[in-house]
Amino acid sequence: MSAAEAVAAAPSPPLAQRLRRAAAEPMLILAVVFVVILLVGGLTTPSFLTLDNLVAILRVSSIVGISAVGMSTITIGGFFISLSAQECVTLAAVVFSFVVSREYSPLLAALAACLVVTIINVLQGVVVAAGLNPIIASLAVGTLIYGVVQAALQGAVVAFSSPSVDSFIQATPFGVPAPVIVFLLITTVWTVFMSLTRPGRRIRLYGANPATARLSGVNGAAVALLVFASMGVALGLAGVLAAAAVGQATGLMLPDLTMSVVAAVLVGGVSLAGGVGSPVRAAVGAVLVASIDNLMLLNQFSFGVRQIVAGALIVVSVLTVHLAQKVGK
Amino acid sequence: MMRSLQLFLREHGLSLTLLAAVWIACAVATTTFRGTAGVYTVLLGFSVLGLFALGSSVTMIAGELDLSIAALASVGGVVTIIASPAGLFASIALGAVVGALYGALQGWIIARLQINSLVATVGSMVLLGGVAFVMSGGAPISVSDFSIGLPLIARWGVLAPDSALALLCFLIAGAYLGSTRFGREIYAVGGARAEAFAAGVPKMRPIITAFAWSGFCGGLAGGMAAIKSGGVQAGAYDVMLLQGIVASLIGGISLYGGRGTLVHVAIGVAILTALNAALSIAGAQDYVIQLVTGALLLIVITLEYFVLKRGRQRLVAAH
Repeated sequence: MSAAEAVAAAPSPPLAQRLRRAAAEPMLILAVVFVVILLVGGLTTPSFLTLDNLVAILRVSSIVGISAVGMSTITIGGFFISLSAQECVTLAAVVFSFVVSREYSPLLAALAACLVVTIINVLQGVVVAAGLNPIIASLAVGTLIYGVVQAALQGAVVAFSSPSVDSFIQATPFGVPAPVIVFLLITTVWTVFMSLTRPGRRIRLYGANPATARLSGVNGAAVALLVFASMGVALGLAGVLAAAAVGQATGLMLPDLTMSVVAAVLVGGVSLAGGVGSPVRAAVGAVLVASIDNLMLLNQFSFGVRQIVAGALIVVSVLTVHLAQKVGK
Repeated sequence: MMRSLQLFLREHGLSLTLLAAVWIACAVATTTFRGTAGVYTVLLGFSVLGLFALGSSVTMIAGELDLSIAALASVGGVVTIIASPAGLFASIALGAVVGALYGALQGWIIARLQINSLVATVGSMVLLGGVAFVMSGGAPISVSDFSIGLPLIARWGVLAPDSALALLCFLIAGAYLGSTRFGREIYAVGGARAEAFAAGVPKMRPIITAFAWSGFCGGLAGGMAAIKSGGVQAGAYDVMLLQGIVASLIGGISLYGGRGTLVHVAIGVAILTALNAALSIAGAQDYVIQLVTGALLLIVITLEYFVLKRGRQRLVAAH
């Protein structure tokens, strides 16, 4: 049989081993960092370790987290990052708000929003599959989306009122806010997809070494389309949640989202070299960044100082991941 | 003589045609853009956009990308305003030097650890944004004596002091890149890095130089613009990151590294400045300029990709 058939027919490792590989050691580092944050926070800031605050952190991290989970698929696939994340999420929010305000079912609105953003991202995937630099392409697409949204809205606010959306957003089954449950669900689904399915493994293979993967029968274009589509779906869902949370959407509603998402992915230990990491790490990275930000907010650090800490965090994580990879070789 | 003219036209013909087209459109659309006024306006664009493009293009030629140049301009601007009591030249020089030093540090880290410049500069971008914010106290800051920027508003025919300085930087960088061994190292590192190192090109110097230069340009641009307007706000130049990259790419710098000269960059800057001027004159809002820039970028990188692909195919077919 051909090499491709041989690879495809090889028995996959046992479930436990695969699950373990999905998490691996960097999770230990992240766990330790988490414990440190909880300790430091608990000791210095009285209001930090309360259940209310911890739930609030999770709630705040959901939108960035969902976006980061989505973006991690293109990072693992070797396509770096997308600098158009906030524009895509904003677009989804605007589309969702618009459709709901026109008295259509919120479910239909969510579908429409996700569809629009997924199509745009798939187009980006096509462009990238053809060989264009993913970062510059995403920068250009992001600027285009921003321009189009601004032109369409002209600074207006798209508001809606929907009792069903409100009750969904405010629901707290078992004390956990609905957006957090959505976040957990998406993280689970995406992680399972990347670690336990064949397309997921192909993506990782391609990200680690595109040339070898291609020789083994992995279709690079298919990988590009798949990962960008999966990012598009996640960004669409994030946008829907963002709009649902405040009952409206504007053209500038999520400034700094792209940087927060990139920070989450990098801090979580997903390497920009590709082939390393998993969506759950990006999710953990998002919660980590949100906790540190929350701790700083509770201690009334100014915006600039919080930015500096965020930037330092990114630099340190990136250097650590890079050095760890080199040492591991 | 004819041969070099031929080569020049082949290399720059398309971009020069684009420049002419945009220029004529501008001149037709408004009276203020005609003649020397048009040249003055475009050259004025060099003082900010030109420097950004210069910084971006040198790192792109080296096969890297500096995403922190806009943040460095922010810091440079803030440093310059804070140091403005020291005088015009000193404060601007300080902003530029701070940019150069940080750029060199970044370049050193990137070269030493062989880390992807995208990854390294993303963190810097956020970090420096925060630094500029903290240094300026989170609010727009201004000079105490507004007359300090007056020399910069002088007009020498088609030039102004800041555009003249920017053009001087272009000339110096052009000479460095085109005529010195160090410049050729930068091209080598961008065009074929592994082969360059194997051939003995130093691993650190070209990259450190490229990033130091990018930082210098960012800091200088931010400093000059800040003093000229008498004040600065952290994050004011963030939009210039994309603009500088687009200008470089439009002019003909290759994203893949190792190709393109500063003549390419200069033409690209002229095109983008004229285009921005045309849009502003037409009364377009900021986001339209962003939209056009984004569309232009997509078109340019698509074209470049297809041209390169056709060139590769021709190369393969010729064998």
